Amino acid sequence: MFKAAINAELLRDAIAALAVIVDEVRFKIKPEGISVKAVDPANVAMGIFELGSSAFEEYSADESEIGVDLNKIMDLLGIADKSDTVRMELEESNHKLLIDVGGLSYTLSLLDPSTIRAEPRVPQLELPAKVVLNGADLRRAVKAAEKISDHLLMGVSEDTFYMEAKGDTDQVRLEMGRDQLIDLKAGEACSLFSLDYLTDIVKPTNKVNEVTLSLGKDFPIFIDFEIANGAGRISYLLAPRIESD
Amino acid sequence: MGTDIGDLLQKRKVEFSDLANQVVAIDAFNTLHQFLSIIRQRDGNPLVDSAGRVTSHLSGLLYRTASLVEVGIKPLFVFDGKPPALKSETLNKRKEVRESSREKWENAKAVGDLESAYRYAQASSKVNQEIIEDSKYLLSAMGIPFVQAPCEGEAQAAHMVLKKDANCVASQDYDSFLFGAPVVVRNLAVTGKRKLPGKNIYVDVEAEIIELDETLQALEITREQLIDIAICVGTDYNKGLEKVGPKTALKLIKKHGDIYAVLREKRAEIEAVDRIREIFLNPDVTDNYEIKWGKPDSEKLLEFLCEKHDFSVDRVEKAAERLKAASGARQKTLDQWF
Repeated sequence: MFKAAINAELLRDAIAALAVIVDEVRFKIKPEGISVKAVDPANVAMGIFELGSSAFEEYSADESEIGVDLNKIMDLLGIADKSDTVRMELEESNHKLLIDVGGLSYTLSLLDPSTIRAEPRVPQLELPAKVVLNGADLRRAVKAAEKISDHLLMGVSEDTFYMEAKGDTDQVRLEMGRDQLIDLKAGEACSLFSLDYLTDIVKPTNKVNEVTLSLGKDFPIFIDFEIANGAGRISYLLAPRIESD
Repeated sequence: MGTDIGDLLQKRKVEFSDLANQVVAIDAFNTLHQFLSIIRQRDGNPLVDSAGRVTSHLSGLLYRTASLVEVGIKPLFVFDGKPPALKSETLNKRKEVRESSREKWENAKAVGDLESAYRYAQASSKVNQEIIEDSKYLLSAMGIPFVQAPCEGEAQAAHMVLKKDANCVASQDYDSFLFGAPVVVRNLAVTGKRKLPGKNIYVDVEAEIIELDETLQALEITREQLIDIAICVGTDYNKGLEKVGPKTALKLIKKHGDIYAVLREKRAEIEAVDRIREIFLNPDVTDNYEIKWGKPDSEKLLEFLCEKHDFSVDRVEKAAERLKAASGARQKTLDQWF
């Protein structure tokens, strides 16, 4: 059983953050909320997504798992008004999700979860450096980097967090000291990331006050932030690019 | 060339992108031979520079390798060393074929029969010492590593996969399996539209991957038995049994167990059968090699290809660009942190 109501904009932002990684996901529905873990087809980025029941206006659910085509949900939420309430109800018998929004009633055919890639394990990584910064700052650095390169170096050097992109001829660097950051745990960290992925990942952070980056040297990065006014959370794990030896 | 056991193997189509991040040990001779026979002008003449030197192999090495590197494949080339003594008959025969093809090619060209000219020209191509030296020089300038095998290149390539220094062997021949290669990719260097030999038909050649274990399981035989089947059919080191193709050979070996029993049963003889098995089972290989991918040296490439061999500066520069872009940082996948 699953029956819930949620603000349309909130749901759209949450789904959009997930759609960065994959098109089809398995939603794990539990009494305390919904969660998803998914890896992109190239095995480069992982998204770990939690949306607690308190993010919903109404929420009641047993444990179940459904397979969803995120593009379809994004399409129908695209038509909805920001302030609309989305009402969802699972019809387990025929694998359909009934969605009511803005006076429209959708019947969404669900995917067989077994046809979607299984939930990945989340690797346990010891990441020496941690940076907490404003989402808009991160987005700005990524946007600047995009103009001249296809990858971005992120690192911590003493008490400074830096992001640097080098193109064939030009380069851009953004340095942030402790006073410009919300928090900093210094440690040896310097890794290069593909902007193909970063650009999409940081898109939703524009509206986010606090983004936490956990970094290492030539290691994957964790990018965490809250969604749905603190009732949910998304973490991205992105594999680095490494200079070939 | 090699052994004709292709019909017995379990092949799967593979996309270049599926091989991303994989180290592929390429059978250099085999690949150069492919380039020399495929990369030709319409009348069958290979590409040549203004001094009349053949450049088909250089063209193939540069542009094909650049495409591989571009999708994240890490190629390395393995060159043949001294062939085993038992191969001399095969090598002599190949030489004969080449020489008679060359004659026929000249004749066909003289009478204006382009189709035959092309066919004979293909059969007359030879990988000579100059071609090998030029290829090695070009690979160095491209930043692509190569390994000199003490004996058969395919054996060395298989050895490197078994040692986990490479993920698979790339060769057109099936002999790699006899040398124990767990995974072989075919058509890697020749994917795309290709003319069928001897026919005016073009086909799409796709890369395919073959796994030794899968094949052995499907056929319900051991690698040793696969070697025995190859010996029945004929290898580079022996003539096969009369009227025995791969399917018959499979039946015979499965029924009788090994080559010795088959020979007894058929009252046939294959010279030096022990030594042939030994070549496949314990090939002469080396652990003395270094594999390192570097950045391409654009200056060297331009000097060698454009100044010496009349390649187009524009195209060489573009290929160097592609190699350079791929030689930098590589995207890792999350798997290695699990």
